[in-house]
Amino acid sequence: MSATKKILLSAAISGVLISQSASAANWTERLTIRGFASAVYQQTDESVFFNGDCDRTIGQTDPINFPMVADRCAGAGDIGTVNGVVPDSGGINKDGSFRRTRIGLNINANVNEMATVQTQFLVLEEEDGYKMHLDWGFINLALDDENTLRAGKIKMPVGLVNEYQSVGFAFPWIEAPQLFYTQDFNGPNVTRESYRGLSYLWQGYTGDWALSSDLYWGQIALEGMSLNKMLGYTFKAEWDESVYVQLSTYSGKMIYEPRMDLMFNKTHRVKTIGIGGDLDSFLFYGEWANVTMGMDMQESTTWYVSGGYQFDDYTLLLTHQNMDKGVNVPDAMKNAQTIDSITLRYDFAYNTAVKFELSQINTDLGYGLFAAGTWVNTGNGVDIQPSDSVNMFGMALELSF
Amino acid sequence: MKMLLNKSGIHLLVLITSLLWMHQTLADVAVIANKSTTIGSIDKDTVKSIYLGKLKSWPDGSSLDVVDQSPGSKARRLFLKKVVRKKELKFDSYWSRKAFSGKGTPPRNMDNDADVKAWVSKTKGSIGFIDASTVDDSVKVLMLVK
Repeated sequence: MSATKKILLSAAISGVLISQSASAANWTERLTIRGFASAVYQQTDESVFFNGDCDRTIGQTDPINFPMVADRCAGAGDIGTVNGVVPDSGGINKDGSFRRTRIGLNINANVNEMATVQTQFLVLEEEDGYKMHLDWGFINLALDDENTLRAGKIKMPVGLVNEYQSVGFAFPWIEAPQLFYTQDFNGPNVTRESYRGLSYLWQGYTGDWALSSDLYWGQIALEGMSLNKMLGYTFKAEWDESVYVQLSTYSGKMIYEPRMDLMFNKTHRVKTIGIGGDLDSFLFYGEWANVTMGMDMQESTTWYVSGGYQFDDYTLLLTHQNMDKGVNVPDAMKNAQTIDSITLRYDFAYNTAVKFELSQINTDLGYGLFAAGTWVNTGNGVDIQPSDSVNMFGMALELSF
Repeated sequence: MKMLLNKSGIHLLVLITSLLWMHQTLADVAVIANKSTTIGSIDKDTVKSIYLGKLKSWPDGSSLDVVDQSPGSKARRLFLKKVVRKKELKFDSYWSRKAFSGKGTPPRNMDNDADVKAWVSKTKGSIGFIDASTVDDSVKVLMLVK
């Protein structure tokens, strides 16, 4: 855990504790604790890892400075392992993966009528076992019923489900559509887990409409890079808690350590539009995003549509995802991938659901989210190529408590 | 028709009507508030806005303390259906999304009518709902839902 993460975690815990120490007598009245858990299993019929933590580009170009990344990715295709064990963090492959299994705890404390401390802790699998980290945690200052200032580690309001993406119970799929929501650098880089900074949130209501406007500023810190001077804006309109539309945009400067000239200090700019709904028994989602990162090879457009029907406690959903990455470059430098899925969700008890999902991943150009390519750290430049069409199966048990 | 109008038939009719009336009475839900609340009544849309977190204070500007009941209770099912106009699953999903994204805190949850009544009677600014048959003078009734 980095020093910054430790400081954020300490600050969040201290905030909660300090807010309670003022009046321990009524702490139970001012503290809210909720939680969720997801037990997830996914498997493909392909040995190459899909949608993992491998960074193909960095691993290929600089195995000397990034040996861990290169080694980790070498787990793909059975040609290399870390200490003899194929790391689960590499992604999903034919050996199956429980890597999306997670437990979350949401703790909120009312300090006074104006201020609250809101935190969410997440336990999930990392390279060396399950670790807890602060999913988000911030101080919330309600200026009045409609206007709020937030400061701390805040969920990115980009993408219809991104702010509750860790909470499997809250959406119908096994995981939010991968070609849109993936954190893999090989993906479109639409959204991230969270940012550190400030947010001015306005939430207003008129008739059956709920409107919200979120202006935010801050930084996204990732392994080996950060997005600095980030400024973003998200507008959301929701009708009768049933149909909602979201427009988002943000941009920031990409900083790499060590410096990579091609993208260093270039602007990362994202635009998204999404519509979703839950009308009687019909569910639907659709999102589109365009991302530029200062290089034609990294420019991408991604979208998905998803629609389904609820039969009492059962929900059946069909989803199509599409990603095109790379413009004005030869096909060899492009990535084009689609995923078609069918998902069945069964809410068999209060706040408890089980999901089953079958997907077909089709790769038209490049490797998409597969950790494939020519791996220099193997010494022989071995090519790892996934099949053009790969099947994936997933199941999940979801709880909210 | 003649049979229905004889003595037994009339008794049967009275019995069925009484049972239906009793069932209806038992199924009523009362929206209650702390006795210090300045308003005397409330409409369904306002209560709905309160329970969806859209209204955060009383008309006089004082803070609201919103109380919900445990899932599955008869009062809750009727309240959500008739006032919030949502199924329990949809209402709970709505609050899951808000709470787990840090954009709202769901209503305080109480186990049963007695707990809700006890909380509302002692907490200034609070609002809750209970089976109408359990109402007493410790709380103020703002609305009856049939």
